[in-house]
Order: sequence, then structure tokens, then C-alpha cells
Amino acid sequence: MKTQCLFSQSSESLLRSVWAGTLSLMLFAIPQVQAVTSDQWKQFNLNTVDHYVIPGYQALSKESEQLLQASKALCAKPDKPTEALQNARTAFHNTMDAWQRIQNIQFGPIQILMRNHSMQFWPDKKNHVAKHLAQLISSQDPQALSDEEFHKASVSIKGLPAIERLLFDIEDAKALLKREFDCQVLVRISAYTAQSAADIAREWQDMKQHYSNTQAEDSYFEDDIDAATSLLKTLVEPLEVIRDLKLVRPLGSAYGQQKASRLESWRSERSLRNIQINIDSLYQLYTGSKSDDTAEKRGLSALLDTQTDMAIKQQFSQIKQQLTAIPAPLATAIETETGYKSLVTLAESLKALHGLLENAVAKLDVHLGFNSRDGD
Amino acid sequence: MMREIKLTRRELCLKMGILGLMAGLPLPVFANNLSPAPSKGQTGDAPLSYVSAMTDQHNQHWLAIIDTHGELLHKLALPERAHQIAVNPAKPEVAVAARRPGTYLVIANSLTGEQLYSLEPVPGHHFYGHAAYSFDGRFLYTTENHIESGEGRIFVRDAQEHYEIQNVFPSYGIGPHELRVHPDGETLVVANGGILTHPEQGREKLNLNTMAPSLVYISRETGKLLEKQELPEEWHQLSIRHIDINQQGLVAIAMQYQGDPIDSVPLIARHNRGSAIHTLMAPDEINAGMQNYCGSVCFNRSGSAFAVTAPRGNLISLWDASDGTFIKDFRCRDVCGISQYGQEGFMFSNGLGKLYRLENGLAQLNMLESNTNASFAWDNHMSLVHA
Repeated sequence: MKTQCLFSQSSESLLRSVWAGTLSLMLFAIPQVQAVTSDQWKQFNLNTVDHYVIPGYQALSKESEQLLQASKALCAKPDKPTEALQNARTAFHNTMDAWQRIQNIQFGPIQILMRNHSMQFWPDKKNHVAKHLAQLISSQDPQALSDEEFHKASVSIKGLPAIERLLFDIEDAKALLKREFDCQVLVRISAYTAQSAADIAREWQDMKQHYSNTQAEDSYFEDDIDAATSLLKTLVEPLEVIRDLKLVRPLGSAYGQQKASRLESWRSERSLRNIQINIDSLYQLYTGSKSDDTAEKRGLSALLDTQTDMAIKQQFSQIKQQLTAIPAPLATAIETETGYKSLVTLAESLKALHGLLENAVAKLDVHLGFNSRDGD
Repeated sequence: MMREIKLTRRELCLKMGILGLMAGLPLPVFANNLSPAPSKGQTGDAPLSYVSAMTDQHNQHWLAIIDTHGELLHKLALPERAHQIAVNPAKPEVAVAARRPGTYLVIANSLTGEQLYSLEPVPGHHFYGHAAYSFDGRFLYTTENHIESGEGRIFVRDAQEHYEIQNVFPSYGIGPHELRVHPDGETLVVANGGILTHPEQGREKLNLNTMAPSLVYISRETGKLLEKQELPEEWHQLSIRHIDINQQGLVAIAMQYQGDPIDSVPLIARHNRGSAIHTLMAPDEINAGMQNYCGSVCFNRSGSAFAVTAPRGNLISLWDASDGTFIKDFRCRDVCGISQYGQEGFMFSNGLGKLYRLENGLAQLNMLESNTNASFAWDNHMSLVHA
């Protein structure tokens, strides 16, 4: 199966289950269990929610609001259209940066109303974004952009990939400004994205209550370790997703079979940057602090034995080095033999990190899932 | 701009009391005449136990026999991962068909956990992990794959003759999965999941674009096809995988969608002989929460309601059998296995080794305390045994 050999199957099979995660043969690899108290888990949970999750969504909310303002400015027939386009593109990059920092969180408010799909509809195997965007644009119907009508639109055109197409598929600002309706579509999608981000950030304040008291009558979680599991999943499982979707799928089965158009955000040439941000963010989640020198460490790192902790940090560090060595844009690097090899190596390193983390949480008696990962 | 979201509407159910949603649910029906109750292999009024496959922390697979409090009574080591356990209604015997693409069929004594037989499929075939006994306990039916053609088969083995193969007939579809005996005692109900796999390619799905799942009724005597139901063409990627049937012959169906993850499709259905499949939609948020994947379905003993688990969505949904009304849902992590508890209630198992009971008017899901520290995973299905 997929954990046995990186390129033994078609990429399709590697993608059977996207964020849901798939079979891991290391479910219960290490039997000996270290005791972490309920209070320790609770502290871990609250720290993670307060210092990682909520600030992450607040940043997304702030940046996507900036993107909305920049889109409006661009479409308002500006004196300096080139500069306005540049501003909008920068705002897009900032929003995507913020999104990539919390892309790993796939539960809670992001799951509601299909926001996980609408925020970033990707991978887009059936070319939904292009099709639905073309359909909307060709309608030239301002009514389609009303709250009620747009709410019914396909999730594929409600988020960042559609904005990316509108902002980066054009030569210059004039091209977009000549087509006024396209610009209104851009503003509409930006508004939807900003609203979703603001809603999620607000709803997480409610969600936090469930971490504060898992013993409450109406608690979402069974206990503190159940609550911790929800957060630990966002650390461990994304490593498989990054590897499978952002690397293995574009790489194809062998050199020569690669498809650069399968890279994430290739239009805005930020495929590599996305992965770098993902890894930096996961490292922050792991250590519980933004930098190594922060005295107070409240992440998973602090709950592990030194040897395990060092091995994981070393693996993170190796991955960061590998990422630095790969030249951007990835769409170019993937076409060269050296670049291809370095991406294969990176995929293997991510797999190794995933294994280390999975063993580490198993040692703490945290089970990430069995039936949910591999049913029949 | 966007409608206000109540984040915890379903999530809050776990520890909540009665939500006032129970009005639609019939009161307990106490069956005086204990006619064969086909649901998940139960009859009579003998001491109860439950059987399920499980996997421990060393990745060893077991058949586990537990009492109604969740205490382990016996376990039997299995060579590979198992799936559902079929219960012989006539004697203390259970059949463990290996998980797809499975290559063993183990028969065990359900009182002692001893292995009675270990059988292999006929060359060129593999098991799909599901089996069912005839009501008299004489015959065991298994869903199997004829590998070369990819066609589904039903094998009939004689439990009185060391499980020798007595007959084989088509399942009239690809990828047969769960099967049940109809309360008429003569008809097999089979879910043809529609997905083609080949052991050389592991569990890889080979025909997602052309798959055509079906629900079929077959004479267990002659192997003749009595009825075949398919879903409308737009839902041809909705795999009909798990079924249960109540005393009235109503079939409850739990499905898995192989199409685009953003599609909103029904994942649950019910069927009465002679009519079309009646698909059921949970409220939007709950339907989306199931993540296009249901793992198991089971009627309660009275047959008044059925439960469906969605392990990827960590949720249980309850449905009124009489008209298919959605009753309520519960959050339960990694839940999959379902069996009956009492007349109206249910028992659930999850991948964290925990068991949960739903009783008292289906209002509250209670974890069984005895198993809270279990360091193993309950596998997909659980069955009730009347010893």
C-alpha cells in the first residue's frame, strides 16, 4: 500500500482520500505509553487554540479583508492601474500566506458550509474552477453576484484559486479593467473569502469553550485527550497530505511523467513558498512557540521524552534545509532532473517526519483514528 | 451576507439529554413471538455476547468475544485483518471472513473462542469480509470475487459438513459486500458495491467511472435473481455497501460516495421489495459531516429504528424505520461497529477500543467504563450473539 512504496501506484490511488487521511501501517507502533495528565493536555489544548489556531484565523481574516479592499481599489478605475494590480497581487500573496499557515486545520468552523472546499478548491482534478468561472463570467449577469445567487454558486469559485486566476492569468491591469464584470467577480469572491475568514475567526471563540471545559454537559469533546487529538491530527495528518498532493501527485510515477500544472498555486508561482509556510507552521504547532528561544514551551514537544523530541526537531530541520535548497519556482524545478530528485527526497523526508510524529503521539496513548482512516 | 451558523448543533449532542426530537419514534415494541429475527444475527433469549474483529497495538488482528458490559471473554488470533463476523443462529458458532481481498474463512466457537475450521477460498477467488448464515444455521453464505472476470459470487458452504462448498451462484453485480437473509428465510439480500478491484492491485478501485452498484434479492435455494434495484444514473458512484434488514423485510442501506467530494448526495437509503430504492438525506450539515462515507448500518431489535455510523465524520445518525425520517445524531470519535442493545437500543464500537450504549429512548450515548483504557481498535463491524 501507499506507505510501502512512494511511486508504486498511480497518483490517483494516492489521492483516494484527501484530508481524511488514509491507511497508516504504524497505527500502534509503540506499545509503551507515557503518562500525560488531563491537566497537561488541557494546557496544551488551550495554548494551541490561543496561540496558534485563533491568531491564525485572525490573520487570515485581516489579510483577506485587505485583499477585498485591494480588489475594490483595482476595480474602481484607479489612476495607476499597474500599481493597483500589484497591490492586489501582494494582498493575494499575504492572504495565501495566512491560509497556508492554517490549511492543516480541517475540523470545526472550517468544515461548516463547505468552507474547507470554498476557501481553496484544490486539487481541481476536473477543472471545476475554470468551468464555473467561465460560466459565471459569460453570464455577464450582475444578479449572479447578489448575496442570494452567489451563495448558490459552485464552491470551486468562492475562494483563493478563482481569485488567483483573475489576478495572475492576465498580462496587465488593463486587461482586467477592460472587462468590468470580471473585476466585479473578483470583488465578489474576495468579499466571500473575507466574510468566511471573519466568521471562522469569530466562531473559534465559541469553539474554544469546548477546550476549556471538556466535562461540561454540552461539551463537544469526551475528555481532554479527545480534545487534544483533534489538534494533534492537524499536526500529523497534513504531512501526508502535503507529500501526496503537493509533491507526489505533480511528480507522477517517474521523471518525465511530472505535471507542473498539478502544483499548488503554480499560477502565482508560490508552490514552494506554500510548502515552506506549511512546514514552518507545523513546527510552530509542534514546539508551541514561534521561535526556539522562547522560554515557555507548551507544544507537543514539551510532552515528549528528549530523545523523541530531538529526533523530530532534527527531521524538521532537515526538511527546512531541503526546502531552502530547492530553487523557486517549483514549476521550473520539477522539470529538471536535479530538481525532480530533490523533490522525491523531500517527499521521503516528509514521510519520515510523519512516521516519527505518529509514533510519538502513540506513545502518549493518542490514537488518531482507525475506522476513519481505513474502512471498507 | 451569510446565514448565521450554530456551530455546535450536532456536535453538542454527545452529552445532551433528550432533545425533544423523539416524538417521531415509536414506543418499544415487545415481540411476544420470537420469530427469527434476522437483524445482525440474533435469535432467542440466551445469554448475550458481542463479537467483533479488533487490531491491537502490535498490529495483531483478533476475533474478540465480549460480554454486554464490554469485558473481554475470549480472543482468537487471526492471520490478517478481518471485517464482519457472521453469527450462526442455531449453535454457538461464528464465521470470520477475511477483509477484502481476503484469503481466509475462520469458523470459531462463540462460547470458548476456539477455532473450529480455517478455510481458504477456491483458487481464483477472494472474500469481501461479509458472510451470513441461514436461519437454521445449516448454510453459510459469503460474498466473494471471481478474480479473473471481476464478477461477484455467492458461495454456499454446509456448516454440517465441515463447511464444504455446496453451491455457488452469481451476485449479479461487481463487488458484492454485505449480505443478509430476508425474514422469509429463503431470500438473500446482497449489496453489490459496484467497485471492481483486483488482488494484484491491492484495494485499488479500477472502475469508478463505470461502476453500477445494485441491491439484489436472490433465492438462496436456486441462486435465481428475484429482484435487482439500482440507483438513478446520476448516483452511479454511490456504492451500496452495507445493509441490514428488519422483521418486516425493510432493508436499510448505508452507502459510500466515490464521486467528487463536494457533491451533496444521499448516503442512506431504505428499500421494500418491489419498490424503488428510497434515498434519505440527513439535514445538510449532518449529511456533509458524514464526509461521503458511511461504515455500518443496523436495525434495533424491535426494527423500529436503524443507526448508521460515519467514521470519517465521527458521527452516528438515527433513522425512523417506518418512514425514513432522520431522528437525531451523536458525535462519536472513529465510530463504526453497530449492534443491538435491548429492544430499542444500540451498541457502538470505535477505533479507540471503546464501546458505547444507546438506550433509554435513544436519548443518551453512554460509554462503557470497563473498556476506557483499551489499547486496541475495534474494527468496522460488531455482531450480537445469543449463545
